[in-house]
Amino acid sequence: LVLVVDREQAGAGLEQVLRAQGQVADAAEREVRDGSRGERWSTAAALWVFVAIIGADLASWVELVLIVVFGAVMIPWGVRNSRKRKVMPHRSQYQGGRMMALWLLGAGLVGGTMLLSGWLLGRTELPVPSLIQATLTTLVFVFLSAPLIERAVTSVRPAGSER
Amino acid sequence: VTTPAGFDELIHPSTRLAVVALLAASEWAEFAFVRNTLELSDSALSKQLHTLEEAGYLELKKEGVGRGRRTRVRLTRRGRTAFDGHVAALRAIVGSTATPQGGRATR
Repeated sequence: LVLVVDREQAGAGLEQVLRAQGQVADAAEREVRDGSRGERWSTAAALWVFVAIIGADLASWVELVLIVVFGAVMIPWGVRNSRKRKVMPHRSQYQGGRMMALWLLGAGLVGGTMLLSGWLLGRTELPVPSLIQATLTTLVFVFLSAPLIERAVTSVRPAGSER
Repeated sequence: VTTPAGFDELIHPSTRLAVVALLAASEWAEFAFVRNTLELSDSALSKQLHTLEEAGYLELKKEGVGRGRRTRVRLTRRGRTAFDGHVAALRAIVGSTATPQGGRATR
């Protein structure tokens, strides 16, 4: 038995492939959009507590332990959240450069705010500087970094296609 | 009207091509996601997955227990290679230079 495929059938097959790519991209976007709000606020709460504690006058080794603990809690939590997803787009579907740039910008904003506010507050006589530092860092995370990182995660549309 | 090299008769049937195309765009997908997206019944999808699994094109992984039990499906390297070859063959038949990676998804 020889299978014969004409141009029309082959074209329909290619259409199906394109449609599947769009369906995966759409589903990934939807999942991030629907699930990110709760994750954003719980991450913000954890970040606030972390910065508030680490911004206090602590010994270096305590700061180091706190950083390790924060990472040890947040990384598995992030992995657990990603496992709740119904579909994970293939790496070939990501716009790698754009995703990396957005990630770095988001992380840089949070890190930069934390360091700069800590440095500035160290030169003032304001009360509870670590709480102010934590609040500023968290606000930057919620309103600037998190939206950027979400955009990075949803930049799964095949390069060159319209959004 | 020919079937060029890379054309995969196992993948080509419409439903199976839809399943493989969906999985090719994914690292992995849940059984329920594939079923709902392609509007298939559990049994129809299971049958297609079984055929593809037997050919070594995909693997199924069950996770969790009780109500949280989920089945994840992913293409194997062999399946991905077969899919890429099949898409190349379809493109050769159509005689088009357009690639799925650069194209616009039809909604």
